[in-house]
Amino acid sequence: MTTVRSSPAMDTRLSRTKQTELCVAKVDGAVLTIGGRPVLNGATLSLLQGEIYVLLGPNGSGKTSLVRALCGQLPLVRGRVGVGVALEDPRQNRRVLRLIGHVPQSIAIFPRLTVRENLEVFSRFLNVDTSCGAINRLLDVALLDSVADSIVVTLSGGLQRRVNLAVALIGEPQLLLLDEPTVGIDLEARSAIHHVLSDLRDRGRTILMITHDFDQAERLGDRIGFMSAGRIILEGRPADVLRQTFGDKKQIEVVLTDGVDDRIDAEFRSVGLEPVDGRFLWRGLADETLGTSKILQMLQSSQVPLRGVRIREPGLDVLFGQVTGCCTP
Amino acid sequence: MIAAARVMILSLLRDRAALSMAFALPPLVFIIFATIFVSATGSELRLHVGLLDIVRTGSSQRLVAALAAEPGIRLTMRTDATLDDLRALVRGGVVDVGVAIQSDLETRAGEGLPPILVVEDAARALAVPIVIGHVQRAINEHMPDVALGRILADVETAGAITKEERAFLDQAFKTQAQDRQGAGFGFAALFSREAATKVGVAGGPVAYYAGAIAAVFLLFAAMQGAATLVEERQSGIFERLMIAPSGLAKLALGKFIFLVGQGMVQAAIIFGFAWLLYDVDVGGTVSAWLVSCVLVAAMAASVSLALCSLCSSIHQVQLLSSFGVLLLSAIGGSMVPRLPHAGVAPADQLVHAECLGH
Repeated sequence: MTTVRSSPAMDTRLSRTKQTELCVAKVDGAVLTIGGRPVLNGATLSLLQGEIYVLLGPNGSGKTSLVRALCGQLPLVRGRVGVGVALEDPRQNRRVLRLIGHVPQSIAIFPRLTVRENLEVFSRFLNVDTSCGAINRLLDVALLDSVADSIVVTLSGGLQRRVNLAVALIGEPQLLLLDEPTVGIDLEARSAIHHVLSDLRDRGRTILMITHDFDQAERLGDRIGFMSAGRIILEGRPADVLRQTFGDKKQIEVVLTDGVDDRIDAEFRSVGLEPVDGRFLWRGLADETLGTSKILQMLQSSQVPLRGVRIREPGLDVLFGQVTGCCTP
Repeated sequence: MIAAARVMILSLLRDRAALSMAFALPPLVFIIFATIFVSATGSELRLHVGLLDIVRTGSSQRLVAALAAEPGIRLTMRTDATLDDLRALVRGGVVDVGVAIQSDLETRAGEGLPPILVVEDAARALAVPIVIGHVQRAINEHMPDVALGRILADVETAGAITKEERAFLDQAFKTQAQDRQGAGFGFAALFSREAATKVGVAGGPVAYYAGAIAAVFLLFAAMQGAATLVEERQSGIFERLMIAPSGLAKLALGKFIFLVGQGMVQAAIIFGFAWLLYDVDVGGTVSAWLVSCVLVAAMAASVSLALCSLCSSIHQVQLLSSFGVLLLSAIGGSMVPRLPHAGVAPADQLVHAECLGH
């Protein structure tokens, strides 16, 4: 695994959060097979108190299995899992599970109960005392006061996702494990969940979040980890890993109105552009000054059927494609 | 545990369709069954018989009259029809069974055709022995002279009696037949009936159908309720509860308690309707009924939860539910599921509980 260290000057987020170096959960060299198929292949991960760690990776790379291993739901073939300050194995000491709040990918709540009833029922399942306004506090934290007495099935997808999150907050767990908590919801609802998560992080909670949303990972993650084939292959602060990987390079994107002939195809490839979507969209990385100007000159001189050119800082989507070998939209 | 039961109760109360299916459908089906099988037709199955008297002799006409008076069958008489017409009636499903009197009833065995031909439909195989039983009873009760005459003819052929003795007995039978209203001989008093289960005493077969319908719906409703296990596993609630101490055990136990309670309410509603509409006496055996009800509901709930825990989709639950209830009904007899349990037939207990002590 490559770990990218941050430079103090760049670390603006660190000062904003209450992050400490206290490790609250650890997976060390986890090896796991399901049905004879290797799912985790030496995955190693440490979660620090008060941070949001975003786990990225293609489908089947082992992200959800890693979370389930942290919950003690899957027995490892090798390696170890530790949760809490003492880093105890949840399979050996079930009491440490009280430190974990789990938000599954699906909306895992009772649809015909109200928001408040769901929180009450899950509190009883978890043996958590609901007196002294605990439910009201949860409603407040998850911004659900206005819909507390609404039946869940009548709520929008975004609100249901927030209820899903609120249930995981019962018992004030130190560690929140979120499996794609914003999938399938609109920008406004996603923004509300971001607000809740940032607030929780600021209160000292540790959050491990799986997502396929690179923008979310970049904006919300204190650290990100790229997972591939059951291992975390790269991790660090988003700005650090991007700078370390790309330096001053820019991503250049060329959109054509028509296909190009073999001569132009060869010219595009010679300057580092590769077709992404058939022969109409080409992408490549180029040095900020020399590379981009060379490509722009080539486009001008070859008179290609050009619709547009976009030059931007390479983001996590580009990095994802590089480190995992998977295409990004 | 209480939380899980609360979830089930609230979910059911807020799903009006499921609520009406659980508590309105069972009494409705019970009333339909009771009306069809009990009120409309009495306690016996009334078969539709097509009757054709081809020979039109004195004895055949006596048999026609005797069959017409049989309460257990409904006759359709064809005077100008042929045997082919009768076959067509059976084939077309107009009648359950065809009966043709094709030779005189006093004809000796081995001399020509057997007197009565029964035309049957393969799809109604059970109807044939029932109709034959009715015909034999009619002959025994209303025409003992004819029945005995056929026997005497064989006895005479065997040389056990002389022609004079035969003529004397024939005359005695005829005289007897004319005096049927008196204390004549015959086979009428050969049978008497007694119900070992006492079904038919307190409220008649209605109590039986109340128990049977309750048992069927207890199983169906329990399967539907237990199917929430599959939904909760698919939605991730299981995953979430695996973190909680004994979370899954509490969930399963809560569901079990709910399903038993739901079954009790369903049975109470059905028997309530049976009491209101058909005077089925539940009060006299309430403790036996209650115990049986709890046992049946508990077994339905446990079987359903066990089966649903093996299913990975709702589709599987639906298939298993239909198959399971049909199978248990077949094992227990028509409409009365019999749950597999050593030495007892708990689903029957709802039926029997009503009858105990009467």
